[in-house]
Amino acid sequence: MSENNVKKQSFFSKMISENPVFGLYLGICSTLAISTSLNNALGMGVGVIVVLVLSNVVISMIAKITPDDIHIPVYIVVIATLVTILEMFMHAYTPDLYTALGAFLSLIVVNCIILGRAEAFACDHNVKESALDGLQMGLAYTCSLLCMALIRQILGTGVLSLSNPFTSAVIFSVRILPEAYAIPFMTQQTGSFFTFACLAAAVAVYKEGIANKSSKKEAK
Amino acid sequence: MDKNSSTYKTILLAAVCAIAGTCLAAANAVTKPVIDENAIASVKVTLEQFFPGAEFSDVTSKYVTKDYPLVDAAYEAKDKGYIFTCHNTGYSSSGFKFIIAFSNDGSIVGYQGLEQNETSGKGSLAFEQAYIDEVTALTSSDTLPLISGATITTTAVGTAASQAEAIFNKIEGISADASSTAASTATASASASTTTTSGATASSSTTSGASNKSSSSTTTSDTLGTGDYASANASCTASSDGVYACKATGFSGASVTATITVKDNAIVSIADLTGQDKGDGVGDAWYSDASAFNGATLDSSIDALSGATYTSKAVKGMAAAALKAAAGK
Repeated sequence: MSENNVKKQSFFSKMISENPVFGLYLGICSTLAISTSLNNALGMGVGVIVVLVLSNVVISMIAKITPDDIHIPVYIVVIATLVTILEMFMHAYTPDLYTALGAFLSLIVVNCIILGRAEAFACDHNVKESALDGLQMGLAYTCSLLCMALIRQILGTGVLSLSNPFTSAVIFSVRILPEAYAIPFMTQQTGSFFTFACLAAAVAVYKEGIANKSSKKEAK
Repeated sequence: MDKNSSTYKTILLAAVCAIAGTCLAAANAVTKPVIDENAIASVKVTLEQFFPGAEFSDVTSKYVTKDYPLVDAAYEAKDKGYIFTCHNTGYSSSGFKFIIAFSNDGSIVGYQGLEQNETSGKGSLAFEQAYIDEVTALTSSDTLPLISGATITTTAVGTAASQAEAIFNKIEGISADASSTAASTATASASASTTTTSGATASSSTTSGASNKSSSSTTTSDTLGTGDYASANASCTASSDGVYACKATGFSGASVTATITVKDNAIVSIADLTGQDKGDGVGDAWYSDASAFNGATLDSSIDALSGATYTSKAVKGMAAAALKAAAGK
């Protein structure tokens, strides 16, 4: 297997086995709260990717000049600045999405994934690796949100729809389930926890499968 | 410099904060005009109704302070006037929102309900064309008129509008006396409307609240002999000497009946006064106490019960009919 293929496999495998939401249980608050529709999930996901990549890049650049005892405040200032800038741009150019995400947009600052990756990865890796890690984790978070939103929106409303965040024009809206078969509680908090538990269990099973395979290989 | 020295840490933190501040300022400079434009765009259609073709800007943060809690937003129509969106709670607990526009010369050029769930045919009158016409004939120094039968709603509208007027007067430098008088009158009538127990007391407050307007919708001080009670369709039949069984039409076609005793062309008492609308809380003050009519003649003026125009007309109409019947008119 070529080095590139190994890297690719590792990239996508890590997105599941080290999935920040279902594997590491990070950033769960926002996942549970805003995964009610594809639009919200996609908007929040893109926001987190942007902040995560940029914060990883900036932090990897300044990590060496930052003394250990002030690194947390410095990182928080960097992350908060990036989130506030993102918030301003979303308020200006995607006002509907900005309103829909509400406080959770500002709360990206305290999303464990971002500070977690800054602490665990970006501070002792170079800019390129940090950017790639940010992208990987951001994509994994976005995929988790999209999975949650897909299940909740279809089961909760019976309709799958997506709008252009810049113009609010409907891109597609398809009824998957008859209205009578929709389960409204799936759009509420209960449905959020239920969906999260199912997906987390699926990831746990996948991780267990990988662990079993590697232990069998070692035994051979 | 030693990385662990306090000076280094201070400089580093200051530098990080300064760079962060600069980035935020730059982002703000780029996005603020767009955000402001979006905020105006969402209400521009409404604003254009009052000042077509004007250049609008949101001046809420500049003028709307916590002293004006009922004013939600303020917009300037460049060189033309100001528009305010206000809210308050009237009869419906869900409240209402309205918009009011003032031209630079101080006149009210627009008034429109934005959201309201007031009782249809009563509080809703405060957002209908007749009332809009009355409001748009006023200036920023006037108190908004009250509508009899919709006192609570119109008082609430007046209170919120008085705050918008106060802001506008402040911006334009219009005498504060006029606006403060308007506000205090509205407040006074608000308290009166919520404690309407006596017809006479309530109606006199209502009249003072609307003193700046010669509105036909406010209570009247006509005498029983000259008052127009035709809509009540009152009639009396003599059941014995000086005792009349009377009936009239009250609110929404409700039948109102009473036994009126007349002696020497004056009412001795109104007994058994009741109506199909008894218990709805509007005209009940009459049903529980009509002693204001005791001793009344055709030359007497009895104030209507604020908020119960139709029942008041019915009772006064019956009193007038009984007195006229006794006088052989």
